[in-house]
Amino acid sequence: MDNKKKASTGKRRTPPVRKINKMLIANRGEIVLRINKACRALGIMTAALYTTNDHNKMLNHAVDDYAKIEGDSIAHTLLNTRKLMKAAKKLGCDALHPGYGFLAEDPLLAEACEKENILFIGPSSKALRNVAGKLDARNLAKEAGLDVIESSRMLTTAKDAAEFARQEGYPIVLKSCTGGGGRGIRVVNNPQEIQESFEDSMTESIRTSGRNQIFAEKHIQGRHIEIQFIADKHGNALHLYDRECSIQRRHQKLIEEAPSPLSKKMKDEYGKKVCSLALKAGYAGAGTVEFLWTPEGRMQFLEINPRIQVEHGVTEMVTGVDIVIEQIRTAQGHPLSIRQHDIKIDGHAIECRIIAENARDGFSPSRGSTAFVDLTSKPDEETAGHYRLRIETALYQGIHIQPQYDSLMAKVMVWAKDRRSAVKGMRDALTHLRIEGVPNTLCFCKTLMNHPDMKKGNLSTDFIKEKGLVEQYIKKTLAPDIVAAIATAIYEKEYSHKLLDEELDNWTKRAIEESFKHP
Amino acid sequence: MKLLIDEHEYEIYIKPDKDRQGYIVIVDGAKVKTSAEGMLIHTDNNVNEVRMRQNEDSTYSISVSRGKCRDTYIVEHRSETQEDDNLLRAPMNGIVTAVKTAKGKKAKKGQSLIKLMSMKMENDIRSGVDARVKQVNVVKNQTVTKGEVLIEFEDGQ
Repeated sequence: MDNKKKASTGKRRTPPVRKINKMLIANRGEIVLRINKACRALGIMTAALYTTNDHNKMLNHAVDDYAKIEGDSIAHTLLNTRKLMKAAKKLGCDALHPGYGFLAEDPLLAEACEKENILFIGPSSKALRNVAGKLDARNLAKEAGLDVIESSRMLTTAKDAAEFARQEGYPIVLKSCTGGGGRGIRVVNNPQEIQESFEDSMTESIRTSGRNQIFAEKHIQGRHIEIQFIADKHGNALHLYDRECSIQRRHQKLIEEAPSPLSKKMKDEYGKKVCSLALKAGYAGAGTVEFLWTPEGRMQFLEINPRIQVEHGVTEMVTGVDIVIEQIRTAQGHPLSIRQHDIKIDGHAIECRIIAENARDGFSPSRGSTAFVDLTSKPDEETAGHYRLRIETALYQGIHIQPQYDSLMAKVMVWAKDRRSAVKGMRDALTHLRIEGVPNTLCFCKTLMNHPDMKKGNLSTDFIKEKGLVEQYIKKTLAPDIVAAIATAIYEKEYSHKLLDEELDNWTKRAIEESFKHP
Repeated sequence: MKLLIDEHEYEIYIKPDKDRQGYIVIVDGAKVKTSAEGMLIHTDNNVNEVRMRQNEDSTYSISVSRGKCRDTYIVEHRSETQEDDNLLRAPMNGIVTAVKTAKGKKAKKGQSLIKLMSMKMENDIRSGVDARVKQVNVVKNQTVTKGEVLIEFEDGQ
């Protein structure tokens, strides 16, 4: 049934469907496993990469083939188009999936693939050029009838930024013109901060995207709402409704949910606008349009993410659509296998990102190896019927966490019939998971789930700061008697030598013995 | 004893209690009785499962689980005599992206001397003193661990 032209509008010459024999998944961590799963379902062989200092054995087991790329920095491995092409050819791959981050939004990678006749799983290099630059995307969005936040042109000096701030008023925010994930973001509150923030934003932009392109926009508080869409190469686009990703730390997402609290009318209206924006950009594949929903009710366009996103899973849980499979199929040239009226939202899904950062220390990155990992625990019998749990991770016991990479350790997703049950389910799910040895956000996410305004759904991008959640968490987890327990443990070890000097293996072994003792 | 738990400093008084069964611990003016039984540490009203590992940089990774919350802490046992005024330490794990000073150069308090990239953020590491740089211990692109000494200063006049 795949090849039947059921959704074709038949306007143009239909591009031939490309077969994929083997796909290079040019990324690291959980997304490799997620894409691998989709490839398995489609009967596509897979290959992955590893480097000297980043070798995740779980990935190598999952894929059909793997190769090492030489180089000790990201610039020489996953950010190096030439090496990726070389690896793809060496592994005999006829397709490349960039995942998210790294070069996923880089038109040059898409172009290199096109030249080498390797199918790039994402939009064409031409479409990427239209949307990946945030300023270009803004112009397209305006044409598609979307409301766009006041922004500057590309900035060359701190003076330009100051000039923009004089016109629009402080605070302003500086951003990198390309790349997602809160790159180069600096909020500037007054003229004194502008020189330094400008330099920081610029260097960060150069480092993460290789481009010295930043711009400024008015800093507005609100809720982060985004709409997922998929378009095919036959001129069809559909949207999979909305997500809310307001809960962020350091301008990076921590908790995401689907659907958002937008009214049905707004969902439909903006879904339609997003689809017309995608078609205007000549876009085929999966993508997301991000908005800021202001307290006055304005939906302001932020950017287009032309790739699969970390949080795509919550949309899959409420719509039942496998976004990665659709992404691959549309890249091959298949028409969309679903139509807009087939898409219904069922229930509510929440995702918590378990990241290797220490909330007690300003979300500073952790490093070291994990000592005990158990992400297999199932919910209690009494609660099991009330929610569905999905965990995506490439984490295992003893894996080394390195600060130069993204800090994501695991995505914990919960689906339930409504938002209240989903929040409750997430609280339950988090208590059954264990990641020890490396500070992470598992317990902090639980604190978040317990907050009355989280339960009510009163969110904003400043939620964590506004509600003093870090302070609350510190107070709770550094209560005098916990500190006393820590002091006692250290005292016993250093002065009484009663506690064993537990090496990693010992720790693990004991944990396993314990779990046998108390089933 | 002086503990640095996730960058929070604690001055803790601890001594074995009368019958040598447990300890009296005083934290922030609060008195807590504790006793250890393998990896279970009893405090006044709670039982904590505590697991620890010594890391390469001599800090401890300590996981404490109480009830339904299991959390990992990075703890440094600071010796009482440690003199830190003339050292600039890395406040977090990361990669050195720029060294903006050199041996023999003067540094002003608040001046950014090193840039450290952590995750996707670049951070300025600033001098805490007005002093001359005695030695720079890191180079560009070097990975550093929290607490590692980046720069040593000469003694102030």
